[in-house]
Amino acid sequence: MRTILSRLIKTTGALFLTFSLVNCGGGSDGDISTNNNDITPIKNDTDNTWLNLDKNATRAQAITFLKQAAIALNESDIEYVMQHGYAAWIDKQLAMSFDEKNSMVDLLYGTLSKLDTSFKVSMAHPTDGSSCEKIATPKKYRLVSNSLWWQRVFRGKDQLRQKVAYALSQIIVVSAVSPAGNLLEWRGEGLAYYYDILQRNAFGNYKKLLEDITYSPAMAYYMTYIGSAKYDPAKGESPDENYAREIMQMFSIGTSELALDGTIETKNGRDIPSYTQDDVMNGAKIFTGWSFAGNGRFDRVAKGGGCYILPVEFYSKYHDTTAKRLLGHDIPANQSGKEDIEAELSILMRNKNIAPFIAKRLIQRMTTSNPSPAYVERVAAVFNDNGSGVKGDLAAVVRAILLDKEVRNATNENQGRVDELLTSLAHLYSTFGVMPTHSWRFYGGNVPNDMPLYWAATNGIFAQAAMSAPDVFNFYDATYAPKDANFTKKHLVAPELQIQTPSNLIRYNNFLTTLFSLYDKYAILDIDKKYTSLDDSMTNGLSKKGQSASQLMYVDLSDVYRTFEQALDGDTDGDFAGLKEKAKVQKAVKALVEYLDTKMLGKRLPKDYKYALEGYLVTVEGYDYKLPNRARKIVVAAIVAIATSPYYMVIR
Amino acid sequence: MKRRTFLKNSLKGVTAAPFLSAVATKELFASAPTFNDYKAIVVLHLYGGNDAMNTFIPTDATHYSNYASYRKKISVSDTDLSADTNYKKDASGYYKADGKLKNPYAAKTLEECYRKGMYKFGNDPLGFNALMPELAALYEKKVLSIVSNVGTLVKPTTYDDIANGNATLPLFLFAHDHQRRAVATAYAQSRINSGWLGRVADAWSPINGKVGLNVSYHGMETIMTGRKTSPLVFGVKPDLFKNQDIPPIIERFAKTKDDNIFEAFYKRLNLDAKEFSETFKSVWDNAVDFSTFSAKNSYGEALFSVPKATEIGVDVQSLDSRLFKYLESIARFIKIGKEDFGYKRQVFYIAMGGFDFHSGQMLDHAKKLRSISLAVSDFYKALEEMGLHDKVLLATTSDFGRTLLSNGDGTDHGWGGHQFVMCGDANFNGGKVVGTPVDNYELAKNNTNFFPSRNIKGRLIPTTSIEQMFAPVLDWFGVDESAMKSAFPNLANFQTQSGDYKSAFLSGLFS
Repeated sequence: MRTILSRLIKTTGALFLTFSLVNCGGGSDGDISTNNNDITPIKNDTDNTWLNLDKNATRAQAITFLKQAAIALNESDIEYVMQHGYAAWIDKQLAMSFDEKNSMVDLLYGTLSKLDTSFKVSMAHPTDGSSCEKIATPKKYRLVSNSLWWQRVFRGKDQLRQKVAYALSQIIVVSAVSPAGNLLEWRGEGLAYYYDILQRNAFGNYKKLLEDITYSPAMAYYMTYIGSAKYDPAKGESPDENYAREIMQMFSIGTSELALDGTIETKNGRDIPSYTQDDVMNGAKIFTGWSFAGNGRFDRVAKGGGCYILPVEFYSKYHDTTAKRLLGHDIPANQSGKEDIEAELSILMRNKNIAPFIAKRLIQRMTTSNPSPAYVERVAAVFNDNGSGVKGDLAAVVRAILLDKEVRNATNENQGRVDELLTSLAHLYSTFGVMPTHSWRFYGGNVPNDMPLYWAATNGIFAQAAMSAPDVFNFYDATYAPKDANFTKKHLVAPELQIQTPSNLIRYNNFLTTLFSLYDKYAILDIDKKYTSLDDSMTNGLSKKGQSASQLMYVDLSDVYRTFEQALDGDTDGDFAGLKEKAKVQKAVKALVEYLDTKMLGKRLPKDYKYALEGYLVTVEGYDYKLPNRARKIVVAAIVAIATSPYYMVIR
Repeated sequence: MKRRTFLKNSLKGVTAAPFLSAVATKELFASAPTFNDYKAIVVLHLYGGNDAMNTFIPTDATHYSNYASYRKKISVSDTDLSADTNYKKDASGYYKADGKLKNPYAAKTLEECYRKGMYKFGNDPLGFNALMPELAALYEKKVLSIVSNVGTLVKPTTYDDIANGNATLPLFLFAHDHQRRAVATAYAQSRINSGWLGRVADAWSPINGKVGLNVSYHGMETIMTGRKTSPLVFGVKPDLFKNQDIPPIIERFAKTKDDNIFEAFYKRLNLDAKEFSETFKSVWDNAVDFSTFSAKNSYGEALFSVPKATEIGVDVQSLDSRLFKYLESIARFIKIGKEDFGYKRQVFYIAMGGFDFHSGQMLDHAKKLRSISLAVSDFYKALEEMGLHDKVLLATTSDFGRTLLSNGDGTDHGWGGHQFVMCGDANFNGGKVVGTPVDNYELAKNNTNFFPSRNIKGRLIPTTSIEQMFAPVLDWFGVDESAMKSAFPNLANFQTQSGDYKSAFLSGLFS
């Protein structure tokens, strides 16, 4: 049972009541009474108005919250937050266990054999190393990054878990796309297995997460400790330093000594390094002796061989058994590989840096680019102690991040973060009911287990797709600051903007225009009035236009068109006759913008922006002046304008 | 006027406005220097830390035998390929593939080729890896030089300084991101966010209007970002709004008051995107077409085409095609910049990824070297045909060099490493190894070439700093003393004569 409000909760009875009720549904009530005593108010902090957990959120607030806490922006979640509040939603989410039946690995193996001709694969889920080594497949990473990730995101009600797993995938990075020749491009099952670890541990303990990823084939391959052996004087070969460095630098303690509030500690004006090169070299010895399961070989580079969905195997012969010294702690000689790794992970978990380092990174991926030191400290304190004396409880950390007064009560002009194009697209897709098309079946809006979906390959559009970062340093630099006086003078960062270049924004805009024009169910079926069914139109319409398999999806804008036409004509017969009359167009455009502003943003568009948008929309013409065509142009223009506006892209 | 009419009328004027006006007003700003000729710098960053020791191999017999004894199975042979009959050049001195086996190294697998040997010239201390015959030929043509053992330094640093704890070391040696930052900022002792090429752009702002001095083919990189200016981020070709650029149009007419800095900045981004699209709308496709050039690549095909495995004569699956495309795009941009836009100075940054060879080095480093050699040579030929080979300089950088000792399948993070510079200017000293040669490749504990550590793996202590290598380049480019000092704040630390900032320059790069 999660008893994680301890650091945050203010001692009002109402709050506590809400909290208890939510937890009672979780099934292990016994914990609550034990932990009541752990709930200690923050000293001298009597301002509890911010929390207001029992107060309903507005639609705009619910949308902002869910953009921080979820990947898909489901209407049911928006309504739940509006009715029950943030904390209740979080607790409901935390109570959902990881859906093992819908693990990425299972979806992958359930999916592969049913895919269309571009993936001629027939296989069963391998159960042991030797059977999974035999797999030779096409570039499966695409299935994982462009299909399974989306499938998982849209089918799951466990949106908070999805969000945290995605955030973790940007902190503990593996990638399929770089460097070129990277075998993970071909062994997508390794990515699926890796992402399952992130999902499974999203609300678990950070140490267990580090342990699981350390034994994962994807990380062992990506950070090249696969086949790393103890020093061999005859061969002149010494242990690989790659993972030994990055597990400290990127995945746990960072390069500099940090205060609990995340600020860098200095001595004589310089950073104090949190580890030395000797620590790296000792760490390199720790990660020796590991190779892929299933092929019975200890390989430095496994060219196509080995199993990517079972933990790596230990070969004691190649393990460095000398004594090691890491970050000032001695690790005795003659330990096994697992014992050495356990020792290293314990040392990392004990390090004072890990709490502020991970806290700040998670905050930046979820709520705000520039957290105040006090905010980081509050979250880091929860990382250090979840209230029950446990360090590294991610559920407690995530809750603390999302409910902090700095983000739930934000009035400061520096507050917030820019959404990624990838997650913003996910929000749009879910708002407009995106569905797979082609002849693949779907039932009542729920995609069954065995259904393959295939979405746009987003890395080709705006340089981002899950698990496809250019290197271990993620898609963008956490310290990136735009050259704008508002940022540079105040030393503020906006990491996500590093890759929102003019080119990427243009491509994204073009992509959205195509998506909402050509892949709209209503447009396909009714405006062209050529095809008898969606399948018919997809088979005989779009496919004949040479559309690629990567765009086999559609959105449903029927409610938008209905709203527009109702305001225009007073009916929904699809003729859009009122477009001939200016006054009617003006009125209908107003209604359209109002509707979209509510649906997409919960009414956040500034008045003046709406006027400008409406002023533009009335000037939009269609090809050949066909009325339904013009209606489509106006509707698409409105959606794209809002979707790419500052008010949609900035989460605050 | 009715609001709608106003909007309509305003929209008509939109296409003409932003970019051209920025160029036209350029001369009004005193801080933008005027130049009479065109010059461009291209920085090619080898992302991940290039293994310079297998790129440029020691030639001296003792050095070589030490190197080979540490590198063992990933060492390159000392066979001299420049004497080999397979190494041929055309009348202009460019490498030309010929004969049955079209590779000059006459080996079948890429790994064999990688280790086959090197092109040595006289007593020059470094030779070129077998996979780079084109670069070796450019070296022979005296338009390309190697800079020995370059790296991030705060001030000249020796083994003893480090061993005695007296050195001011770059922050976080051997860490990719921090060392890339140090290369980019030329301020290795601390974290700053602006890069040295960005600070040159600041000093020359508003040169080149909206496009600016710096064009990055690798995103919003620190090296190209100044205190005030950002690079134009470019791809192979410009992306244009297909049907509509709605949001930027709305941004332009919405007079909303901003109460959040992110929202305010995002508006600017949308407008930048619109200006970008308008700037390149008509010019790009009308620019130079390289297929009409008479020059051909080493295999007799159009410049910047990527040769197939059968042509190269080895079992290579794929070369780094992006490097070819980017260099072709830069050549095109140079032509457009000079002729359509009337620019006098431009800087391009391009990064080639995947050099962090902890493993798989023999196969993949081989591909990288082959790609660099072919693409850079094509680039030089294109410049020559455009008559700009003496006006453009290309130089490499990398995160760091790599360890002398192998880890079995690759090498780990090091510090100093060799780079190369290519330029056809008569004042450029081509065909040389410039900078201090590495004394020896012996991993004894007291070996002063290498970083002192309890566990020695052979990480070269740089003998030439980033600023020492690039200050003469910026000098050639027309950067004056004050802009130079802003670009390279540590330059004075390397001066050999007080009061003479040029005494810090790496000597021998230009005459």
